[in-house]
Amino acid sequence: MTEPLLVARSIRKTYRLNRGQTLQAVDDVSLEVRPGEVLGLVGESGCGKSTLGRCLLRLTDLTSGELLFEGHDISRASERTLRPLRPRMQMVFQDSYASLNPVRRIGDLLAEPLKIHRDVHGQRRTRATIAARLEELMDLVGLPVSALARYPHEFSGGQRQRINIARALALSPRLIVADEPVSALDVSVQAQIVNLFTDLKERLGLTYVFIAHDLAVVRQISTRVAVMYLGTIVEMGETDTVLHTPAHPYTAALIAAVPEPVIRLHASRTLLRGDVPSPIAPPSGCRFHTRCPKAEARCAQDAPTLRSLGDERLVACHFPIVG
Amino acid sequence: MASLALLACMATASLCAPFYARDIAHTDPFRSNVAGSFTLDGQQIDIMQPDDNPLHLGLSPVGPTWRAPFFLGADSQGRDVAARLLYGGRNSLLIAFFAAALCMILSATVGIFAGFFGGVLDMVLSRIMDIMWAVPVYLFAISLSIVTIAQGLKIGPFTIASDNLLLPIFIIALVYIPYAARVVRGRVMTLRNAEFVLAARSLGVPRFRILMVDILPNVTGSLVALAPLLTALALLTESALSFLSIGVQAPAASWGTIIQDGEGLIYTRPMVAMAPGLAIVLVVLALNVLGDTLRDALDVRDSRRENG
Repeated sequence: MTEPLLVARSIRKTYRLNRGQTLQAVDDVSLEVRPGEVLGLVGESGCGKSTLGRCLLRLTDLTSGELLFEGHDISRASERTLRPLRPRMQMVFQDSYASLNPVRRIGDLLAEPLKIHRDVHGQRRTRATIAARLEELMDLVGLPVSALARYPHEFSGGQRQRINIARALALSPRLIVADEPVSALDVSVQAQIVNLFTDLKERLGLTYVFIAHDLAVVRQISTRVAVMYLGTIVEMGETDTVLHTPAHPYTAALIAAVPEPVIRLHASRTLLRGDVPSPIAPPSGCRFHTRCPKAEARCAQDAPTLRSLGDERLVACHFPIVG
Repeated sequence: MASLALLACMATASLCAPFYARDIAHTDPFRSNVAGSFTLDGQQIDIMQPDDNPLHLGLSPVGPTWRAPFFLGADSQGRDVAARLLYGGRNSLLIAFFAAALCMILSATVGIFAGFFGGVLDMVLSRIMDIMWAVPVYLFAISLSIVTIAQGLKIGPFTIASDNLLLPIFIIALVYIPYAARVVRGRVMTLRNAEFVLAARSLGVPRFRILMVDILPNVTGSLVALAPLLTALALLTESALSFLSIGVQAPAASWGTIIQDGEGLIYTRPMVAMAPGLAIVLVVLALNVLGDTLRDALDVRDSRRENG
């Protein structure tokens, strides 16, 4: 098997709040991202998906844990030492408007990474190479070259997300972390952007960590899926395995919660009661036991760890649904 | 636009002060001229005239002639008020403009550094601003003026004499720094957490470049809207200081000093104090209208962006 592109071992991100409270946004997460795969990261709002995404690219400091990118330990690296690695790891954000500086033209925004980083020969890029690269990028994401002279507010949400993707692609990265890149878009546009992601992956040999709360989107694009609940990964495995035969009750409930166009009379639906507990005071034991239909006394005491169920699937549950 | 036109008129008129004094009124607005006289319609008129009261005690300066010499009358030292008004406008507008500009530069620097770097730097700068803001602006300005005007200001090898206009400019710029710096700091703090700043960081843009390229251009809007209001405040403060004889020093004129000259003549020759007062009101009004217009113009662009 090829060496993983990104390895996270027991990473944690804790935010200090007022009055000595702490918020565990990411709690003891370990995962691997292999070259060429699409790892889908799913979970409800506030479960720490976005924070994990930012941790993976070291856009925020880790509280503890180890993070390796292409074999380099970047868990404690400073912004300066990270800079040479930045061209190979990029991010696409959820809010296509907020992630583009409103007072700069598209051409300037896309040229920025090309101006800062030197090319493969360690040379500064000339104006001509930058201009040529910008045209290439516009072509890749399917926008007219005339868009370069315009400002972000002149574009629709889908077009702006194309611009964001173009900017992430400017330096030919290997890994792109996409933080809910389509959830703010209209459904018809969502499909276009997801297709663009798939298409670019094929053409450029990219690897994605694709964060989403929409299972349909994740099913379409990911090769593997990690399901998050309250800052921890509860189940991880091949997309088909996890989404067709979920082993964790939370995954099962997530899948059951997707509205279906055809109402099945005899389908047993395990819908969740209540809201996600506060990550400031998470439940004891298994964090899901307060809402789990299968919870037993043991679940309130021991926190289950991720263990293998064979078929390359990991699940953190004392009583996994089997079969 | 009317406000801009009015401001331009005021500035041009003030710039033409020497032409008016030398070529039209033929007076020297800085020298006492109590014994002089002038000709109007072939008549010789004394500048200082006996009082109107029945006892004819004392003398009053001549009232407005509404013609070339002594258009607005004379002040108690026999100087042409109209000419002094124009010369005063030069000083008042110059001080207000440069004090506001200096204040903008300083407060933008303070606000941007405090807002962007946060932490200890922000804490220190913000506490200094709080302490300055806790002292009433006029009290602060008056205290500084009294000290510097009494002694002049020595900074290393440079000495600024007490009649130098740089003194009021520095003082007024200094006292309004907290006012403007807070606005800038707040704006920068929201921008610092904006997603496009995070995007720039993920591209590996160095912090200083993020500050110059991503944050500064987004702050200029707020600064532009603030500039006219700050100029108006500076003008008012300058007039107040000059009125108290601790701003522009005699014999030089400013609208504040002319009001002070007119204070003793307020019952007999009200025009001496009213003319500069009216000038201040008009300019401050125009600046406020201009500030509102600019703010609205920027707001429109913001809302259009959000909808788009």
